[in-house]
Amino acid sequence: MSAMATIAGVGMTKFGKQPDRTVEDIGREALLAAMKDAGIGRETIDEVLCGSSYGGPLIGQRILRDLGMTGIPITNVENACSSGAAALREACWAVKAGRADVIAVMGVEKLTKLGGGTLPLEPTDVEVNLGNVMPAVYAMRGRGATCTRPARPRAISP
Amino acid sequence: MTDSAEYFPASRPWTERGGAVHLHGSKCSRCGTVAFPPHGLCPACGAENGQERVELSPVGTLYTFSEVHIAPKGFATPYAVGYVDLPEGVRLFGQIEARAADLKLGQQVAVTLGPVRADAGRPVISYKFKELA
Repeated sequence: MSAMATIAGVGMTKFGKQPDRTVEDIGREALLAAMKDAGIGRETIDEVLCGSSYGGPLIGQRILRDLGMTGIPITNVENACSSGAAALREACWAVKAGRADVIAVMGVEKLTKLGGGTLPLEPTDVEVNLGNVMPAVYAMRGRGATCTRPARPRAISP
Repeated sequence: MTDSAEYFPASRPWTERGGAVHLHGSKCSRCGTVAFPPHGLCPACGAENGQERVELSPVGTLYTFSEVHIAPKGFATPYAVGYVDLPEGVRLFGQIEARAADLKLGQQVAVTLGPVRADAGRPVISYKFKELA
């Protein structure tokens, strides 16, 4: 089984309430830390995948603009709590497929801007109308004795 | 239920009969799968027509549940929620008129109607569940 891709470096910011910083500031800090950890410069990065659910439109472009890292493909991935993981998954396949050699993958969020409470969900959803909230979704999944419709995991290395 | 109440869904996909609430589902004439709310396309086999309206059983089995203490605007906390399996093979989400501490996995619950939240002060009436008397 050949490896799909290698994680060359990682970077993470401190978690916490950071009222004086924007989500772009926070994302930039993580990205620069990951590049330093990997020992690579901006010229090596072929493209960027940015996972976020509440970062707003063009979150990846907004993070990269002030770093001057533009002119490469920047794609945003929204997949709720697994937005960052979904971005990483797409990056693995892109490397495996030969589309890129080096991809910067991010997962960024600043939820304190929402003012507290549960995450705002879409009112067009039936369950949201009836009072379902994300913590209850996870609690119910944990309490359910069996999962009759399990996800079908797929080996990531073909 | 007063006339000033709002209903969700607005189409009121249910029938009250003999003290029981029967939700309306759809049944695929090709593969027999029952769905709720009524679908125009079968979620099991993809048939694009032949979805016949059916009344669902008024009692089901509690698959899982929890209790919500922090909720969006309009919801009065705490309230219990859960997924209920109806005999037709439908699993649906709803509030439960009970405290979570009194509920047990696998117990029978009945479909009922009642307020689930308030919209600009007006109650929103929908289907929910209650423990069997």
